[in-house]
Amino acid sequence: MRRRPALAAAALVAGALGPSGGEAAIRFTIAEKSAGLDLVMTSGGMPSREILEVNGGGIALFDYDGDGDLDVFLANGATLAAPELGPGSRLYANRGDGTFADVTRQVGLTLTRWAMGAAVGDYDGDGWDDLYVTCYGANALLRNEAAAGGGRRFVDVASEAGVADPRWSTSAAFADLDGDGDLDLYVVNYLAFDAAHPPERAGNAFKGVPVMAGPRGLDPQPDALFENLGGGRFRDATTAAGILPPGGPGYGLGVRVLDFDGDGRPDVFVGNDSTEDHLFHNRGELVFEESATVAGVAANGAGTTQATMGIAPADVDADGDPDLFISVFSDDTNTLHLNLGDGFFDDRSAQFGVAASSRPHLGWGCGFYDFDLDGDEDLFVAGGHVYPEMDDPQVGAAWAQRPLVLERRRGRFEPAGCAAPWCEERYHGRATAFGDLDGDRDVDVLMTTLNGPVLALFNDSGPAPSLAVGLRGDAGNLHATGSLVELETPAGAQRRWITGGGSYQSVDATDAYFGLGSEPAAELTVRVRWPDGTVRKLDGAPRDRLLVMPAAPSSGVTLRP
Amino acid sequence: MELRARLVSATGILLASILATTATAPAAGQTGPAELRAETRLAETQSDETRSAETPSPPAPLPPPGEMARCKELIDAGLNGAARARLAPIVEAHPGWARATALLALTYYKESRFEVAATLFARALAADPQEIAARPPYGWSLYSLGRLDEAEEMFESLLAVKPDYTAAHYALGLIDLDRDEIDGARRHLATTLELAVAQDDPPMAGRARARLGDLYLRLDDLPAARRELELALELVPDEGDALFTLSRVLQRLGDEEGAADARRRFEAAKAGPAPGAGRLPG
Repeated sequence: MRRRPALAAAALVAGALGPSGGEAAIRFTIAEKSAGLDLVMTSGGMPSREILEVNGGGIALFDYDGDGDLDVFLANGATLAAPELGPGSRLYANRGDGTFADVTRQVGLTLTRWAMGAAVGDYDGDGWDDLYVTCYGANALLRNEAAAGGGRRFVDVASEAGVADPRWSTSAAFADLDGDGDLDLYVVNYLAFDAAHPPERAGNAFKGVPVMAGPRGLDPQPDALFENLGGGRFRDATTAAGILPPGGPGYGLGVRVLDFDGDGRPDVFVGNDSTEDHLFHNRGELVFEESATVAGVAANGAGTTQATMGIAPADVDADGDPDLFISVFSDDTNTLHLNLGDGFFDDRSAQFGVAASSRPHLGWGCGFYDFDLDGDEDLFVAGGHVYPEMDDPQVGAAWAQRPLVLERRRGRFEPAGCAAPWCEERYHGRATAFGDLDGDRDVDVLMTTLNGPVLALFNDSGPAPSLAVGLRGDAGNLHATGSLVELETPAGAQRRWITGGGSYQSVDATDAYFGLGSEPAAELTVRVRWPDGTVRKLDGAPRDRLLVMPAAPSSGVTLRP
Repeated sequence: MELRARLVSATGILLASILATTATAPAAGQTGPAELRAETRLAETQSDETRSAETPSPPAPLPPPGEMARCKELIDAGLNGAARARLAPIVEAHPGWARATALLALTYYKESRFEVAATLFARALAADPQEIAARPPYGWSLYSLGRLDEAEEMFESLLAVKPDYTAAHYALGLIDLDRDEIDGARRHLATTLELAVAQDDPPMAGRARARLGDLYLRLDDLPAARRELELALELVPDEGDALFTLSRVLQRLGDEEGAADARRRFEAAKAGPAPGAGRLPG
C-alpha cells in the first residue's frame, strides 16, 4: 500500500466480510484498468468451441530489467483461423508502484504465435532472466540481451538452442535437474490438435449435453526434457532420462520441480488432464523413475484419475516436507496429497477442508500464500468452466466462476468470505501468478481470464509484520531454484520452496514471503538450504524488509525496504 | 437468485417460471394430485360466469392416470430426456405438483445437473413437505454442490421421519468426514454398518466399512484401516475405492505383494462393467 498511492486512489473497492459478518482477514483490492496491464487476452473465439480455445494464456512474474521490482509477461493466444498470427504476447514493466507500462515493442518482443505459458530462468548464466514461452506450435526461447541503445531486448533463440518443441506445449520449468549448476528445461506437452481440421464434436457429452471434443479421444503428447549443455545449447534428453512413462504420456498441463522426498535432488511433478499425474523421481545423473502410482499422487485417494489443472506445493501440516495440492475439473474435488515423509503421499483433501468447496468449481492456477500475514498459508484457486454449455438453463451450472479464496483457520482451509464487488463477479479465470507487485511485502495476485482482461488483485490485508527473502544463486541458477527457505520462530518454522515451474502455465515471483502476524516481536532466524545442500543461517533477521541472500557465504546480506 | 436471473435471461422459459414460483411456494396440502383433481371437479361445477370472473383460464387438464409411474420407469431406464419431455409440460401446467416436480428434478439429478436438481427438489418439498422421496436425492445434490450444512439438514430431517434410514446415516458420516469431525463420522458410520447388517444390505455395509477404513487411515491407524477395508471387500469384493485404498495401506505396511494384488484387483474392477457398490448410494 505504501508504494501505491495512485493505485489506491483508483481502486474500485476494498472491503470484505468474514463468515460471521465481521471484517475478513484477507482483503484484495481490484486495480482499475488492471493497473495498466491493458491487454484483453485472446484465446480463440467466445464462446469456445474447440479445446485449443479453452486453456487461456499464462503469466510470468520476473524482473526483466533488473530494477528490483516485478515485471509481467503475458502469454497471449490467437484464433483458430490464424494460430500463428494473433495480437501477440506482451511485456509490461513495473513502474515501481504496482502500475505497469507496456514495453513489448521497446524490448523487441514480436511473438504472435498462439502462446500458452511461460517459464523464467537465466539459462545462459549472464545474470539476466530469460523467458521460455510455450506455444501451440514451436516454442520460443527469448534471450534477455542488452539493447544497443540501452535497456533490454528479447531475441528468440529457440532453434539455435535446440528447444523449439513444435508440439502443443502448456507449461515449462527451468531447474537444475542434473546438479551441474545450470538450468535444464522441462516442457509439458498436451495433445495433438490440428486447428485447420478440428475433431468432431459428435459423441462428447458432459452432464447430458453435447460438448467439444477432447481431451479424451485425442492423442496425448509426450513431455520433453532438455539438458543444458552450456554455451546456450541444450540437448533433448527425454528418452535417456526416462521421461516417457511406461503407461504412456498424459495430457500435460502443469509442472512443479522440487525435492519431494528430501534426497537433495529435484523431482518433477506433472499435472495431467484426464490422465494419471506423473511424479518423476530424480535418481541422479539426469535419470528419472516415474513413481506417481507408488507414491500415491497419480490419482486421488479413491483411485480416481483426475483432470489436474493447477499445482501448488506447501508444507500444510508443518512437518518439514512439501505437500502437494492440485486443482481439478468440476464435479470432482481438489486434492491435497499430504507428504507422509516416507516416499508416500495420502489424500487428505477432506481433512484439511479443500474438498467440499471445490465440487462445482473447475480450478486452474492456484497458490498457497499467507495473504493475511497471520503466519500460515492461505489458498487461492482461479476458476472457470471449459464448457460454455454449462450456462444452459437445462444444466444450471456456470461457465464463468468465482475464484476460491480459502483462509487457513484452526488448521483447515475455509472460504474466506468476501463482500467486495469483485468477488461477487464470475470470471473465466485461468492462470494465476503471485508476488509482491507493489513493494509492500505482501502477496498480490494476477489472474488471466479467457478472452478477457487480466485481474490485478492487490493485497490490502495488512498492515502486519512480514518478511520477504530473495535468494541470489551462483551463476547459472540466478534465483537458486531448488532451495528451501525456512523462517524459524519460537512458535515453529515456516517453509517456502523455490521451485521450478508454476501452478499452471505461469511463474510466480521467486521471493519467499512470510507473514508474522502471530509473532510480531519474536526473534527471527532465516535458514536457507541451497541447491547444493549447503545450509546458511541468519539469526536476528529483521522484520518488514526484503532480505536478499547471496549463495556465496562471503557476500553480505542486503536489506531493502 | 443468480440462477433464477440467468434462467430468465436465457431461453429456458419453463425453468425460469418454475424458479419464479419457487420464491412464493404454495402452502402444503394445496397442490398434490388429489387436491388438483378436487380443484378440477370444483371448477367443473361452477357456472361459466363465475369461472370467467374468478378463474381467467380453465385449469390445465391432468395427465392420464399412471403418467407419473411411466415417467419414473423412463428415469429408471436412464431415459432422462424422454422423461423430462413428458414431465416438463405437466410441471408447467401444475407448478405446485410436488410429485411431478420431484420427478423432473430427478431427471436432472441423474445427469449430475445438481444445480437445477436442487432448485427443483426444493420447490417440490416446499409444495409438499411429505414428498419424502425427494429428500435423499435433494440431500445428495446439496452434498455434490459442496453445500454441506444444507445437506446435513436434509439428511437429519429424513432421520427425524425414519430413524433407521441407513443412507442418511451414511451421508452424515460422509459430511462429518468432509468436515474432519472424526467422532461424528465414526458414530454415523458405525450406525450405518449396524443398520445395513440388520437390513441385510451388503453394499451399504461395505461402503460403511470402506469409509471407516478411510477414517482410520486419516488417523494413521494402518492396522485398523486394513481390517476395515478387508472386511469391506468381503462384503463387496470389487469395491474399487476400497481396493485402491487397501493397496495404499498395504504398501505403507510393507506388504508389497498384497499391495500389488490389491492394485491388480482395483484395475480389474475399474475396467469392469460395475466397479463395486460405489462411494455414493443410488
